[in-house]
Amino acid sequence: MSGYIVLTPFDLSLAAFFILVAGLFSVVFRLGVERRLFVAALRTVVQLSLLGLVLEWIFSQKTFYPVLLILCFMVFMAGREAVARSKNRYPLILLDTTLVMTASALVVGSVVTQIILGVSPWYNPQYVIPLIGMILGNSLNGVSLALDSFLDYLRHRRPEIELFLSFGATKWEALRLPMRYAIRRGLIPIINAMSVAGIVSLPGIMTGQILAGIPPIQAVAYQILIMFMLAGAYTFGTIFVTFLAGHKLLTSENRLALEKLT
Amino acid sequence: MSLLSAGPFTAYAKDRLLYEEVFIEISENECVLLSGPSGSGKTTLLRQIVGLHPAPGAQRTLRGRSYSLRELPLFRRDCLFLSSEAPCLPGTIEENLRFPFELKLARDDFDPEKARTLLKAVGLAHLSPGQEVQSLSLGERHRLAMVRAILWNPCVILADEPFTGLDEKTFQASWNLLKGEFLQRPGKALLIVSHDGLSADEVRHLYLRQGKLIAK
Repeated sequence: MSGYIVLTPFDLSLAAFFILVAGLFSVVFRLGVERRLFVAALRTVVQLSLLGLVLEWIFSQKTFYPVLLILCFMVFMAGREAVARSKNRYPLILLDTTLVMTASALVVGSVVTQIILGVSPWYNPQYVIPLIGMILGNSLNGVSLALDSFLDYLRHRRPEIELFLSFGATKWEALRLPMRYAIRRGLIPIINAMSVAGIVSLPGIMTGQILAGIPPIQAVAYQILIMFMLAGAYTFGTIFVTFLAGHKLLTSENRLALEKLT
Repeated sequence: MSLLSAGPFTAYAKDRLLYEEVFIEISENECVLLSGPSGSGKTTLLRQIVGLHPAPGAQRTLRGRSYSLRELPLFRRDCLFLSSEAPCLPGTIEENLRFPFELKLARDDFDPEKARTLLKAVGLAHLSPGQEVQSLSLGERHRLAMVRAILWNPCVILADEPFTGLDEKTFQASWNLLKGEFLQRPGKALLIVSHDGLSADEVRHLYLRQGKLIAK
């Protein structure tokens, strides 16, 4: 059993009816969100259409350059997003997050695409781009949560860290508690997602694959693979990013350099 | 020969000069009282001695051995700084007393029996080891830090306002413990920042004023 129902522009315009109804409600009840709603809907259409065109073009290529190019772009954007909403920053923080994203995509991504799935050719965009995209998107979540928690801890609980240092603790002894705190915080989303998968939420990948006509058991297998892959990406990202930040903010002479935090 | 010598230290608060080219020397079994107007940089000076505050160009010698910047953990193990905030780690009293002894550089094992005796000596007999530290007052935390310091047994204790929040009785008990239990041992010294009246024949008084460290 395979095959899916093809969506036509006509079908989509019917779906746009929901947006119109929502906008109508906004006007009638003076909610004042109709403008933002239409702009957001328009952005969805434009952004996704562009993505569709780009993907169609990349899928038709027979070389790895365009795939690599788009991956680099994704990694860079993920590194940027990871610090975009952070209250705490330090010099070259962007370099650290981008490095973490690159490593995350490389390590977790190559295990999944090259070893587990064994895609061929190795850059096969149909697998590589969506999988790496998911790794980055999720790793990004964990990284930004962990990084922000870590920097918050350093900023607000400086006396506790210096208490360790006062007794001659090494750098990593003094950072053990903040790192543990940050990594735990960073892992919460994926642990939650794995815990409720299939009970509270029907995970997106599975839903999509079932809609695309894949047998449910295979869809489940893919979903498990994805979940484990994301758990790997979260863990790798949170540990690596707190490690890099700790390395920057606890100097080589074992001093907590909070003046670097802005 | 001095037990501890460190310097030169220069510090600024924003752009204002706090003090310049200050040296600290302490002899064995000596207690130095450091005082000065608030904002004169006493805390910064203690933090510079142990390198928690940057002190470019400073040399540190303890018992004739000098320590490079990379060896600061070793130096700090033997020259223990007690912060005026008397911070605690979340957890129990015992965990707070025990944690340094689990560090790589720790020399001894934690001695719960000794800890109980010392807690009693500073008037903290009412606390049980399994109690959480959250409810402790500032004065209790300072005494807890003092007990931990004496258990740790460094060469030098640099204590920043260790008697804050203590009444006359507990102040005397804590001071007697530092003086009697700690300072009398061979190879020990104390540097205390305090406003409390420690009698002049027990301490050497240094005064930090207008950017200079002067004997009083």
